[in-house]
Amino acid sequence: MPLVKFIRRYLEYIRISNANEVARRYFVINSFDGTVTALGIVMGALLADIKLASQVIDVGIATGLALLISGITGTSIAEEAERERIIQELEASMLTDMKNTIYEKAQRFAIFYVGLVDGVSSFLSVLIALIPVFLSTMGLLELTTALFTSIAVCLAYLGILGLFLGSYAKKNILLESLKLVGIGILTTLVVSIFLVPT
Amino acid sequence: MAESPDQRVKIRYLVLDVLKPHTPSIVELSRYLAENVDGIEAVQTEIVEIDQDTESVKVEVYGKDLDLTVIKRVLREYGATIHSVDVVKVERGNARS
Repeated sequence: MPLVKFIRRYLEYIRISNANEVARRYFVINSFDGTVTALGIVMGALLADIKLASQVIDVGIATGLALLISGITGTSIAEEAERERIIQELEASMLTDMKNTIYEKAQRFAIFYVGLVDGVSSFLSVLIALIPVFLSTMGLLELTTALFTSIAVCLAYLGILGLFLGSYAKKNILLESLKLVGIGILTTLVVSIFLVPT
Repeated sequence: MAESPDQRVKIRYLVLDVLKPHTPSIVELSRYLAENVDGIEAVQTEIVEIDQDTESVKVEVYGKDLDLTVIKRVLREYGATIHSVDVVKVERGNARS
């Protein structure tokens, strides 16, 4: 079946280029970045006493899109340079041009794949953090409650990322989880200190 | 006078000295070769030497009527290059191995 063949080919590209290992790292870093950024947006909205949920969503989506674009482009540029070097080193060892080989195609795909994971993970984190605010636009939650719930969602998501990190690194998952939640709490405290409630 | 098809000389067995990157592995390389070259009956691959970025492998190819040009192209697609053809066995006509 063409679809199965298509999926098999790209899975092979991921395996050959070892892209999953890099993508996993970027996923954690950017989910973390996105969540902490969303925490900043929510805290800002709370302290600035914003009355409209749609305004919080506009700011959130705009920030999320900026993170998405910066993630995809920034990572792709960095990965391209890295993968190009890998191909050149291999060409020097093989004493041949690697163009159009599965190895070169896999490295090219890895640039796109890693960039996509990078951008999408931060964008999704912002969207997840704003779920309570979306519910507020539907009239299901009062905005202040929604913003406080968003903070809780951010901290919970950071906790889940910590669990993921801990289990992957075979470290104490609870400690890793608490570490990330602690950074989230620190962010809320720093924002509260620097922003005077209006 | 032209030979009849069954009198044609056919390559039945090849031993190739191949240089390849560490990935794809020899399992994937052998499978890809068997899947993409017509007439292959079996492939046996053995690692001879491992360097920092590459590995030298001995690829033994068994078949009814092997085409070295196609094998070369398929190996190339998979990022590997043939250094030398070390052993070849050809047969004429319907002779059996």
